Amino acid sequence: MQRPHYDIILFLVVSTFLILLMAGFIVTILYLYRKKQLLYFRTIEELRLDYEKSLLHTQLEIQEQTLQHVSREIHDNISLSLTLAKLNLNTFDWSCLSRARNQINCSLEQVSKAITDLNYLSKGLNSELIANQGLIEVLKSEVERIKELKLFEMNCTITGTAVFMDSQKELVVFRIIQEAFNNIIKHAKATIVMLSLHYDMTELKILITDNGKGFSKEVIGENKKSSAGLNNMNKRAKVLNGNTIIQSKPESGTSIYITIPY
Amino acid sequence: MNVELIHRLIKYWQRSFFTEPILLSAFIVCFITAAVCHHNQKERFFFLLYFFAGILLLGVNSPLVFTRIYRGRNLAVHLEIANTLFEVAEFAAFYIFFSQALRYKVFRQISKIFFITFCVISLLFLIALLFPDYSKDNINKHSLFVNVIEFFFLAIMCLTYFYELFTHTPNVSLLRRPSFLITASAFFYSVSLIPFFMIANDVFKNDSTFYRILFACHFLLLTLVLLTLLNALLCKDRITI
Repeated sequence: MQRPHYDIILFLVVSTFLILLMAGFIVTILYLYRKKQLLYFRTIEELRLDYEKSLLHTQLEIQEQTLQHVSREIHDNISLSLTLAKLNLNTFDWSCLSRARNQINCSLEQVSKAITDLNYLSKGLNSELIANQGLIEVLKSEVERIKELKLFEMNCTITGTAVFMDSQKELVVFRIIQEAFNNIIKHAKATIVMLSLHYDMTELKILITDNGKGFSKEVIGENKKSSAGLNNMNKRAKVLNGNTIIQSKPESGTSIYITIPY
Repeated sequence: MNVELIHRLIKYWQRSFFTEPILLSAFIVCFITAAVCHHNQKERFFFLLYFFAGILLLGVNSPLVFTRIYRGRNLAVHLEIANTLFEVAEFAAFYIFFSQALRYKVFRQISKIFFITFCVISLLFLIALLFPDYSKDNINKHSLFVNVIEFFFLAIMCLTYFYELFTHTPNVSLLRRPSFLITASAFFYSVSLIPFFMIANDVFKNDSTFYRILFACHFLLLTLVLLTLLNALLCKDRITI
């Protein structure tokens, strides 16, 4: 009779040990998983803060550049137009009617040009337009304004089903495209410019091509000011987890391909 | 006659300390819940079949024993046929569950091999039951062996699931994941019962009272698994999440 009791006691001890071991195993799994989960949430939070920091930094950079652009435009164009108008009015010849008429007309033209430039400047700067109208409408307005300058032929195509991203994100995208347009206006000497937007399932694909004089990447690399502009475009796209590919050869035009995930 | 049958039924249930009617009720409740909440999902449907098999097993076995229609070897054969079919339904339900819950191809293939192996072993056992030379003692011994194989395979599948838990994005709390609740209870159930089924035959021969106590514990553990499955089935999400 002793042996069966011994077996039963042994069995009970082993079973109790097994049950405690399994309970400990399940509790350990819960503890380790919770630890991993907390680390994961912390990493997500850090990434989110990093992203917001980068976005804020980019926005401040854009604001700074915009102010510099405003300062240049006011100095180079608007101030010059108003100065010419003032000069004409200062040297107004009351004795000769035809000459006076010419001077007034010239002053009026200069003032109108200054007003047009100011309007163009203010609309291009107004970031609230993006929040109100969205990227597509603002881009269409920008393309129309550039067409009015009659510097080159410009075409814009938009394909796919439009996805409305966060207004801050759309603003950064708009500034990237605006930077590309400014470079074309200032340097490319192009006659045809194409802007193509394609809304994919997961990302927005932007292609800007021109038939201008192009550039060599080595020469641009040596010129800090020029390379800074191209690097800014790339950096801003990266902040939005996107990518920029710039292809150009001297006398063969330039293509800028930008992808921005939603 | 009816009073005598009821008296025999109560005495029969008393032997398992009334854990058998509790288990039967749990199977019925789970079956009704699974029937209402199966949401056209394959894994829920196979659990529905498992619960039905459980109801049949307890609903068939108990009358066979207390009505004494069969005795000796005949009783053992009928009980083991019902028991083996129940085990196949149980393992199939968990296999389908793990085939959907596990993401690594290797682990899914291991589960598939286990399922096929268990089905072959069960089939061989069922065929052997047809042979009149197969003694009652051997029937009991080999039946417990089949149980051990089933729980061993189930424990390994549970371990593969626990391994996978740490390879995926931990964005949902474990206690809110139906698959974790099912796997944890199945793991607990299978590992607890492996040692029991290994020595059950010897225990039965030496101390039948202790054997009945252990069988009652087995029923209680299974009831716990069913309650966990019920909790998982009541979730609107897929139970393999």
